[in-house]
Amino acid sequence: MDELRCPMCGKPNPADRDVCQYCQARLKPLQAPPPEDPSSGSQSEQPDWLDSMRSMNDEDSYSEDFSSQEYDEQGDLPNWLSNLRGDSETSDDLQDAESDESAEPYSLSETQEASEQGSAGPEIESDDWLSSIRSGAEPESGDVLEEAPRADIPEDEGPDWLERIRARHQVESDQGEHLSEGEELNSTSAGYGETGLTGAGSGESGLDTGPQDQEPEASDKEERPFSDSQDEELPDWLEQAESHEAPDQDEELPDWLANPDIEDGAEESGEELPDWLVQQDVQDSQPKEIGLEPEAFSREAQDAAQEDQQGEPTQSGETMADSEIPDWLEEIKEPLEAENAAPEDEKEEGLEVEPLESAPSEQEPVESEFDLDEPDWLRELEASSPDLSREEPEAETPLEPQTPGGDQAQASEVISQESEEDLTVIESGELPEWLAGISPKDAAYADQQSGSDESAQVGAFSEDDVEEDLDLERADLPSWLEAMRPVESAAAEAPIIDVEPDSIESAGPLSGLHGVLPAEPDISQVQKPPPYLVKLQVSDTQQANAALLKTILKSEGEPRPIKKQSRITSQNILRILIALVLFTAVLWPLVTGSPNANLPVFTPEVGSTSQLVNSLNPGEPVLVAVDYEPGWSGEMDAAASAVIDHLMVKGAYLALVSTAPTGPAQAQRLVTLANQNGGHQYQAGAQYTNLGFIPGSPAGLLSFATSPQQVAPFGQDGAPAWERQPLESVDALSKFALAIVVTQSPDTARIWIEQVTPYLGETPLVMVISAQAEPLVRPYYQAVPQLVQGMVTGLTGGAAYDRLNGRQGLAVGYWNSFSLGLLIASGLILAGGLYNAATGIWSRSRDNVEDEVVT
Amino acid sequence: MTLADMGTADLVGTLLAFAFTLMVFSYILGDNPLFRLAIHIFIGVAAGYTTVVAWYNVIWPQLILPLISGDAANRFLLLVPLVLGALLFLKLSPRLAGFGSLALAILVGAGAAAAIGGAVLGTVFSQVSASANLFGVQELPGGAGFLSRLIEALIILAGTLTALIYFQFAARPQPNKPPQRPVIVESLAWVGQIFIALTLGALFAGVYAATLSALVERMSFLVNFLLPLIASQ
Repeated sequence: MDELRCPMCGKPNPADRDVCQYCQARLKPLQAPPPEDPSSGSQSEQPDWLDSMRSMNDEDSYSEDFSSQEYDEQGDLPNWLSNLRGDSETSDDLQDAESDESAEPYSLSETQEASEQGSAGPEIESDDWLSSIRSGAEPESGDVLEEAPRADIPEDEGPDWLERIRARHQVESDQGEHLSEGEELNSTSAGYGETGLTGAGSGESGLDTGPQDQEPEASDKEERPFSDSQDEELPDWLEQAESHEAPDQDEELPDWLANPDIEDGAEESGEELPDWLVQQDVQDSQPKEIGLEPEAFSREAQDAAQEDQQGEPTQSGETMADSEIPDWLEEIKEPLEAENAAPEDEKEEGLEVEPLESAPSEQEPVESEFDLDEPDWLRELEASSPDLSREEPEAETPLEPQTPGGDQAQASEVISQESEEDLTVIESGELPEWLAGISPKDAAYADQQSGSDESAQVGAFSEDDVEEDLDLERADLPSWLEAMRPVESAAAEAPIIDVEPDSIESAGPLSGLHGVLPAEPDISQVQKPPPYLVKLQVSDTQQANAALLKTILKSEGEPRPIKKQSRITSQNILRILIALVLFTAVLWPLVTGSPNANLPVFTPEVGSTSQLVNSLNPGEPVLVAVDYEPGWSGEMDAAASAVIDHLMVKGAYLALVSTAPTGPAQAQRLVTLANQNGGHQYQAGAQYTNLGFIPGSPAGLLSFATSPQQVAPFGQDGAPAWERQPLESVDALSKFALAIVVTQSPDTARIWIEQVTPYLGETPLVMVISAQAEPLVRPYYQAVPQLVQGMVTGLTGGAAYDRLNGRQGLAVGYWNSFSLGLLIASGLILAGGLYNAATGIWSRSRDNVEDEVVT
Repeated sequence: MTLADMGTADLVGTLLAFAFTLMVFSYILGDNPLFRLAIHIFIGVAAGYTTVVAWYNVIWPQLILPLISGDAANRFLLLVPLVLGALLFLKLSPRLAGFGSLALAILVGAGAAAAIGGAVLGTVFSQVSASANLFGVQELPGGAGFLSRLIEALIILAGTLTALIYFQFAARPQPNKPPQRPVIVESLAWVGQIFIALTLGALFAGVYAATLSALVERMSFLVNFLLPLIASQ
């Protein structure tokens, strides 16, 4: 299966495809391409003339004269022209190509078609159309030739046939078509590139004409293979040429052939170069093959094309009259110069800084003509290169000297000089002026656009340039933000991907070009991100504050040393003094027996108790509960001994019980004291029984109250307590004649009252309590009905009870010391209260005075 | 009775009492080892005596001895307190403490029941009725005594109510102010605070009287112990 090579990417594609499967470019022209000439021996669709051009360009054919390249083997006709002769037979395709607006040079397509039509012998066929041209073709307007670097062709070397063509062809009627063609060529100039040179795939033969039609305009077709426009319509002049093929000889030559001085005459005479020729001049700025393509030519071509569109007269017949260089070539220069002198902003906008990247849409048909001998376009570029800086895109001026287009010779000389200079510069390796005029910023920007990763250049461009341009003041960052700024010490050391500035793109539609933006995005290029060090910038003051805070926090966890307090303090001294006073007050009466205080007056509760005890019969059982701790023996012994003594006097049987573990011992002590002090002879078992300890506190007492014989079956001596008289008949607490509770605790008294009183019945309950328990027990005595029928309170009650009974008990002996001690204590309390009150009042008044002073 | 008339036991006891009395009096100078020694001895002796009393007065005669020599019925019944007592001992082990919860629950439950019942029946009801009966016509004597008794009753009633109101701390929150009780409650609480202060004063006096009595008794002991010695010399 045959393969088609894509004109864009150059990759092979199946023959049946219309669009490249790699880059989606059209493989086949929109028109039905003519069958390839099998004798061409080339698989591509490129016309032979184009291939020949290429081959000549590859061999550094810039230095070659146009004439040398152009001429075929026979030496009579240029090859391209010969080739064009072969394409002249495809006249039908021209009409289709006119309607097609794809970006292909119509001239190229035309040549393709010509070649496809099987122009096996371009040399042979060239004669036919050439002859036709000679017969009647008039030189077309030299608009196309304006930009063509044909200055290299010496005037003497112009072929005779060309001169004859000029004379015959007059293409005034084709100006309008040339203008339209010129627009298409300009629009499609950017996309032409190599395609224009290769001619492969571009395929659309916008200007396929029949050989007859092409003959009168063979000179025009010289430029067509290099033109950009792919959407050609067959120019009218070509059509007319076709129609007048037979009598072509009689027709006038196109202006460009008749009058090569297109530039000079374009404006004055009103003639125009054919668009395809103008655009071919523009294509001379092809970067690779042409080198430093003068943008002026593209500009000039565009200018010329626009002028043609505007209806200006062609410039074909103006400048090619006298120069040794073919006049039509000279005429091209001057009108170009003249046109470029005219300010045309529109044409300048599309120009780029680097002529290498400039993509003039049109490819000049004789690119090789402008290479080595300082082509005019090159000179023109040199002249206008300083104006092509990126910073001032608008300020771009035409490369050509601003000659209005009058003196052809001067323009040609200037151009020749410039081109020579440029070539000299190029050959020496130096940059031409126009290229040197490009600032490094522009280059950096271009590098950036091309995908360079050199951060320095980019940074330089981004920061410095911005600052220089905008004159911005650097912002002052706050200190805290400045401190947080990462240290980019490592960032500077980040690996920089070195992208060769001259790397040739290998993929995409721009394959083969160098210095372009990469087709592959940068994101696909894996780079190790530069490490950034994040360090806080801490000042000395901040460090000191941080150290201080750290010290404070550390000291919080450390224990503070406790100050050693002195043993002798005011509190200690006061306590000792008070103790001494009290000791004296207590000891004095004990030692001296004076003062002799009066005994207290008995109270009603003491009287009641005395009456109850007096009402007892001898031998009656009396329940005596001894529930006070040994530490309270001093007071309780004094109070209880008076009552026990009275009971012993009455001859009552005592049943001693206790809910405290030390109670039985206390009960025994109490009986012993009573025996000693009262002169009694109470014996255990006979006059009293010690029932022992009742466990369980309230619950135990409740159980004792309900069944006393089961709870306390035995006495302290181990003998059964309830088998002896008078307890033998006592099976409940209500059988006792009297119940006496001796306790210092108000709670114990309350428990006895709460638990036992319901089971006592008519048996009275008497409380012998401490002075501290009296406020809590008195309500039971004063309650109605009374729960407690008698009460003896502390040492005072005991003393009163002894006084009532006329007995000299312990309470009476302690009374003098007790009363003096009470008096001293009262005095001390009163004095202390008065002192504290005075001190408080004085300090409060002093605080008020200080507050008044402060305010 | 002089020291010479005392027996050995009494003599030893008297001497120890004298020593411990002085050791306790040394607290006037501040906390000291003698005081602490006396305290520790008192606590130890009390604990020991309690243990002996509990064994000889409760466990042996009421649990062990019936189990040994009692009848079957008594033995069966006594198994219950025996097992509960054994379970109560398991409280000492953290791992087996759960088994002693039954016995402890019985003790706590029985004690709470007795206490609550007694408090309600013996104190609350009786005191409330007593407070109410103060204003009973039967209780108030006629004549001049009526007014005094009436005033006394009113004072008792006022003191009781205001003292109870003082312990009412419920207050409504107010915006931008600390919670406060109503004004009338605050006023009555102030009166009750006075009665409470008087009551505490009375309690303090009783405590002082009791302690003074103890001091007098001890001083009398010292005097009675030393005077014969001094007099004999």
